[in-house]
Parts: sequence; structure tokens; C-alpha cells
Amino acid sequence: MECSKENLNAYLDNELKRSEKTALEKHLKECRGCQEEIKHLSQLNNLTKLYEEIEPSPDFTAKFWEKIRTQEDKKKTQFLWLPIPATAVLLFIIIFQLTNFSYALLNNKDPDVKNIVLQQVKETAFCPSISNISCLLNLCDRCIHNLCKCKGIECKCKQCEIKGGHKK
Amino acid sequence: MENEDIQLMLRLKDGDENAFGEIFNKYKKEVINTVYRIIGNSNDAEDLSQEIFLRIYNARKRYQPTASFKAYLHRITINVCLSYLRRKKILQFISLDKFLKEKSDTIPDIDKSNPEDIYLEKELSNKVRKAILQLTTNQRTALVLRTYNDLSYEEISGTLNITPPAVKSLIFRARENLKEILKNYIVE
Repeated sequence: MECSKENLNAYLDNELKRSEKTALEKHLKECRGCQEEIKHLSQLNNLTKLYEEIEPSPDFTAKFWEKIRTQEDKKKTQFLWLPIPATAVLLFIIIFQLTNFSYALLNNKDPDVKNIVLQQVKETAFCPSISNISCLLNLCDRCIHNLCKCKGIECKCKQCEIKGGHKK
Repeated sequence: MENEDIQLMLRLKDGDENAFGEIFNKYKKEVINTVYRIIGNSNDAEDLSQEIFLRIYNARKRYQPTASFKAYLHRITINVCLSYLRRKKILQFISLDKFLKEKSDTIPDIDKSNPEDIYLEKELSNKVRKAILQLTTNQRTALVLRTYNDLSYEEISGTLNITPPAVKSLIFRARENLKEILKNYIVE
């Protein structure tokens, strides 16, 4: 058997197969070099065992649970922030539609249609609060429905019948 | 024992936080010391250990008892340590020459009741810590798992995702390097 430092390491770690272990033990009895190597490896192992163990600090557990609580609170707060992007998108759509509607209304040449539509919008626009999303939606909806009138085209949705009827 | 840990994890998966408390108390010291020996910094060891337990806690719903719990724990521990080392780029900043120049005698017998010996043991522990920190990350990780966590080559191979012969080779090279670094403490 040839000397193998790698196998001596595995032998000390009890990682050799039974046959390899027997062969190495037989070799060890005859080989002074390997005996020396085993001695050094054992010393090294003893030395590495001197590496101090540290104890968790007294507040380690408390700190951990505090982190869990903070994390859970953060999750809850994140949940509260979720509607914000959705609201932003909704507001964008509403503003876009209102602008579109205003543009169409301003460009309408028929004063009758203008009056009728403005009356309709005024009724809807009398909302208790601008922060009331349903009110805004209602206004937006009304504007969209009246868009056809402002543009002087026939309504296809059939949901925007207003006093005075369609004016073609 | 292993089965007991898996049962605790399954209880946690079902929403029993007390089960996690048991896991936490059982393994906190082992985790802190593994982290400490791999990163060599006791201050950061606690923070990283908490991160490890936090990861386990947060992944509780996805936990599958496919491997032993210890293997699962060690894999997370090693991942957190390696990512810390990458973040800090510690390896580049460790001085390789300072420790090699230090001279000292071989290890004397230590009497733990003697204050001088306690001091000496602390000093030796510090030398060993510095020596281990000079190893490559892979060598150090394999050696720590073998020496201090008592993992078999097979278990280490599962944790590091390498073959058992590669583990054998890593541990051999780690010890060869350590013998060279700590040669002043090894009796010829």
C-alpha cells in the first residue's frame, strides 16, 4: 500500500470503507512517515478544538421575535399601500376621460347639446367630496356616455339617454 | 431526533409557532457557532444567525421534509454565510502574512482553573480562528462542518452540493494548509 495523506485524513474522520481501513491500519504499523502524519493530524485536530464556542447573547431570542413582529407589521403596512398604485391608475383613466370629454364638449358647435350635457355633468359633479372614488367614477361614466353627443355621433351604448334625446 | 425536528417543522407549517420556538432554542447555539467559524466575526454571527432563522420561518409554508432537517438548516446557514462573505468581500481584505510571521511555542497543557491558562487558551483559540480564516471559503466551510458540526463527508457533500470525494479532497487540503499555518504549535 502506498502512503496517502488524504486517506489518513479520511481515516481520522472515520470515513474509510472497512477494507480500506484494515489495509491502512496494517500499513500504519510498518510506515513511520504515516505514523508521524497521524500524530500531527491528531495534534492539529486537538488544536482546532480549542476554537472557542460563543454563547448567544441574552437578548438573542427576544431580538429574533422582535424581528418577526417588525416583519409582520411591515407586511400589514405593505398591504395598506397596495391600493395606492391601483388608485393612481384609476385617477389617470378618470382624468384622461374627463380631458377627452372637455375637449369634445368645447369643440361642439351646437349650444343645445352643450347645455344638455353640461346640465347632466353638473348634476353628477355635485358630489359631497372629491375623494369619493365612486362619485368620480360616476362623473367619469356620465362624461363617457355623453361623449357621443358632444362629438355629434349616434350613441351606440344606449345607456346615455338624456333629456332632449340624441341630437344627430 | 431528526424525525422530531421534521415533526416540529410540520407543526410550524400548520401554524404552530411554539414548534418554531423549540427549533430555535435547540439550534441557536449551533447555528451561531457555525456562522462564527465560517465568517470569523462574532458580532455579525448573531445577526446572520437571526437571518437564517428568519429564512426558515418565512419559508415555513413551503417546507417539504425531503431531506433531514439538519441538512436543510446547514444548507441555509452556508448560503447565508457565503452571501455575507461575498457581500463583504472579506477574503480580499484578510491579511495573509501577519499571522504567519507570529512566533510562538507549541501547545502546552492547559489547566482551566488557572487564569493564565485560560488566557493562553483564549490566545490559542484566536490563533486557530485566524488560521481557519486564511483557508479558502470552500475549505473552511467543509472543515467547519466536519470538525465542529460533526457532519459526515456524505452530509457535507449534500450541504455544499459537491461529491463526497471532493469533500474528502477539500478537508485534506484544508488540514494541509492549517498544518502549515499552525506549524509552530505542532510538535515534530
